[in-house]
Amino acid sequence: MAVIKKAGSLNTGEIVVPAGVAEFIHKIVTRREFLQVSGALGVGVATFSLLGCGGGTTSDSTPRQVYVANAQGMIAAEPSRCVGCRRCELACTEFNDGKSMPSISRIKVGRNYNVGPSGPTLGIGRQEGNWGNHRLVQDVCHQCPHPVPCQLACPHGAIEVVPPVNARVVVASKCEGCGICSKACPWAMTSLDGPADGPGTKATKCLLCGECVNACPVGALKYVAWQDLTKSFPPRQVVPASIQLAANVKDTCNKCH
Amino acid sequence: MGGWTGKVLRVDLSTGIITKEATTRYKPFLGGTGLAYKVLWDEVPPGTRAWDPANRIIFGGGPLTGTGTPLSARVSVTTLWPMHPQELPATGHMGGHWGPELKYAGYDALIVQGKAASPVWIYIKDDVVEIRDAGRMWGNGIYRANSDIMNIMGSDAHVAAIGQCGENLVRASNVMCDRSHSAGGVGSVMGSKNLKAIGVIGTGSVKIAASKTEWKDLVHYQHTLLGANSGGVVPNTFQSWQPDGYYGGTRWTAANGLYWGAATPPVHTGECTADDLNSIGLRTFKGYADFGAGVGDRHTVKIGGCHACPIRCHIATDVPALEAFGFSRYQVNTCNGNSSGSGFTTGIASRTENAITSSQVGVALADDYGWWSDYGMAQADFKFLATALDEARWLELEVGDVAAAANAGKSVFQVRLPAAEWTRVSPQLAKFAGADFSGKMQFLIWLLPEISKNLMADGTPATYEKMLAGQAPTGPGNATLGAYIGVGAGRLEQLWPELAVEHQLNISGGNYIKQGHIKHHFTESAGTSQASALINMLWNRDPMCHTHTNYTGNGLPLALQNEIFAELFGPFSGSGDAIDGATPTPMNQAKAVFGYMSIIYLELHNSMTLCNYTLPGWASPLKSRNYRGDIDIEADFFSAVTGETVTRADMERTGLRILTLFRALTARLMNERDMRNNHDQLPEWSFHPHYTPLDHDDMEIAKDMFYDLCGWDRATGLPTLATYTALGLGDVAVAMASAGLMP
Repeated sequence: MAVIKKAGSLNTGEIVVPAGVAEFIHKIVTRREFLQVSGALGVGVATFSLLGCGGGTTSDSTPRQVYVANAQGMIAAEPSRCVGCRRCELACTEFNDGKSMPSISRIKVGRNYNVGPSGPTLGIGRQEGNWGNHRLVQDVCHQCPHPVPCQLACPHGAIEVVPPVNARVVVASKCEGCGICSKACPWAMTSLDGPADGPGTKATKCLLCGECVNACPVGALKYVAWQDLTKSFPPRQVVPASIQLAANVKDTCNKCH
Repeated sequence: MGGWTGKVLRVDLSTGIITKEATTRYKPFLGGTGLAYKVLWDEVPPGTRAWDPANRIIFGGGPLTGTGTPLSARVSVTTLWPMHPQELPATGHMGGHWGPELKYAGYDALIVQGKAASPVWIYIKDDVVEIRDAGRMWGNGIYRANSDIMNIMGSDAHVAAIGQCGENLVRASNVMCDRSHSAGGVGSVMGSKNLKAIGVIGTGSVKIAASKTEWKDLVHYQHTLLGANSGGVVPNTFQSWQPDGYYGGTRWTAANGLYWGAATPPVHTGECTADDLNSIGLRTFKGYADFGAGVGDRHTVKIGGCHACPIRCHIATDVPALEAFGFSRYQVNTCNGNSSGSGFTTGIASRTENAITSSQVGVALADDYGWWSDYGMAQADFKFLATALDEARWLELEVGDVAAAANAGKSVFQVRLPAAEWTRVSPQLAKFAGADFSGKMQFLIWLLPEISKNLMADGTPATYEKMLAGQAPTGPGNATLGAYIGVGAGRLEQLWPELAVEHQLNISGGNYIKQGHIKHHFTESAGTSQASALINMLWNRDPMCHTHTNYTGNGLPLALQNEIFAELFGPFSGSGDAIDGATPTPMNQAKAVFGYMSIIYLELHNSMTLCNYTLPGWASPLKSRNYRGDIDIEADFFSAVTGETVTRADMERTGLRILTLFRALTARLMNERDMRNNHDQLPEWSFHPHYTPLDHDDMEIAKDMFYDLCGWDRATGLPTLATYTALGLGDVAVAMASAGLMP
């Protein structure tokens, strides 16, 4: 490998990604040492134990973490600024996964690039997107408040809440690649790196590392304090009735609801 | 390890056989044009014509295509060029998202050969590749092809399609993807194969060999070398963050108080500092620069462009006036694409509401019908042919005293078109020349479809051969006006000799160079002099080379440009400078190296793939770097992506390998031993004092110096055995020797 060069002083503008967040979360995902790391650092409110079902150790048969604290950060996107270069998607997968793969990006612009979220049925020039009015809609993870659809639907308890910003994160060591999370998310924001249930297939979802924000050449993305925007953005897909709460979650839910 | 997917997709439309081949044999040529030259060399024998089923059309990505390497989204579309009188190989270049999507589907390149029995399109979704019926798509425009395919494949599909121009074998036709990205000149090759479109969805990946940390560092580093579109590394207008900094005539036009005015709501570009990654895409405010203050900025929705590119250059517009002419108010294109239709009009003041309206009406037509303007050559010829000439002007066109007197007051169209055709078209030409703006738009709305029909006067499909026969012995031809325009400058000047004279005189400013093509960043490009002349004589179309003009147009002071160039490529002891000031100087070694390296880096960019519309990265916008760029950036990205460590020298040798293969390919297809005199030509007007003049003897010196740098024989301009051998092209040398084409 040739000597890899580094930029000197680059101004990252208004970006307010908490220092060390990306590195910290990468440790969670790649080293699969969630308990040890979070325990050792003791930062943030990782989980909110309720009714004896807190903690991170899960299996299909034992009760597990259900209620989680709200996220503290989120990605805010502005469609009239987006220029459709999709550098956010590339930063997401290249800096997190080591490959260029927009289909597993945790921010999604490509699927809205041509004709916007409404799809191709309206006719050329009559919808959003490059073939329409040029508005390019970036789909981002809303870091849902409890009940978190992807987290609660995962049969393997593989989506956990990670400090310091309480991102809802896929812990690769627990993920079985079944794809139920991608069907459970009303905004279709999780993806699979391979065929469902295929060998080595893992899910991807936004871990609030901020790489997309850093990469945007027009400042169309911001890393901001979390707010509940789940009511502000219409769902991307209908969650199939067949998507159920994971078996070891249902009974716990019944205790509160 | 990384970069290449490892597979090249081949579709034979004659047999319906679809194969996936290893990329390995093409790696010495990287991808893109280099890969395509290798395919043409191996598979297309001399004597093959552009529309023969045996011709190949190669859509070539490269190892960097689809990665986050800035400027890496282009795909080279290479084939025997229908516009060239001898149909020699050339390339159209298509940006957008189609090339990266092909990589994600798993293919470094797509080779199409043969001819389908009836109209088809190619469906590519990862491993699934099918030839599908396009019967009902045929006869429709590019927009319809996109709409139909998105409604079949889904809204993620990226589509490369031809319009009616390509279908009807209009030579001046293109293939377009993602609405505004066109590969010019190649559309009729797809049409000749009955291939309407190629739809692609890819869900796979392009691997990167470097570690995540190393890669991130390199990508961020590259941003420090980037200025604006066309290589500008300093702003065009005052910026408060650098009160004492350099300014130049660059496309870095964002400033305080400027808005993308048609964004909803408007977006303030503001000042964009040289070290800010998050405003780099705002710097090039091309809508404002091209269409003018109060017009262009007001109608700009945003500045779009290609996948992975932080330098935005496509102007997405909202011009409500278009709806009155029946078009969507939203259009997008850039540079010459924005005049591909409106270039046929005259008498519209630039930087006015009418100018942007006519431009975008033209975009809506040309980009749907798949018309290619030949970089403006067609419109320049059209205006010459449609303008009434006086007797003196006819005399200049060497028609003789009698004809000049008889033709006085008539246009070439009036003289040359059959009487019935002249009667049919003259009311339309009156609108072209008239004062009424709406009439001019109606003229465009008539003209573009008229060209796309490509008909003889009797309503049968036009061909050049029929047009030639219609000339015999000297009388008027019998094609329609549209067919004459679409046949291209190289053939039209053979039909109408007065046009050939005009091409050499250039009194009307058409800027024809040779062999059917126009100049492209020639001696008018600041300081490029003989280098640009070498560049313009080398390829088989307009050269599409921007290395030279992007560097001399980067906005830095001339002395600093020469200083940096000498650091990178010198020393040039006693030579003189590479880049001229206002007064051209005689040929020297530094200029030869400037021309040579501009060509080598263009071939590299078109093969890797990288965008030569913004590179090279020889200068930087950062004062902290003393405005020095990084000549190693191509090698660095290639190494990081593929895992094969290479140096700058390795890359430059690869560029020469690609160029030399192209040279051999051209010479073999021409069966030409004297490339120096019979290929590497310039028009008479370029030596005329009226233009930035070249000197015949001086240009012969320039050729000597250039051939020496290439390792090509001075007498013939053919590569030598030693050069072939050193570049690993021994097999090419054997074939050239057996063809009698060694120097």
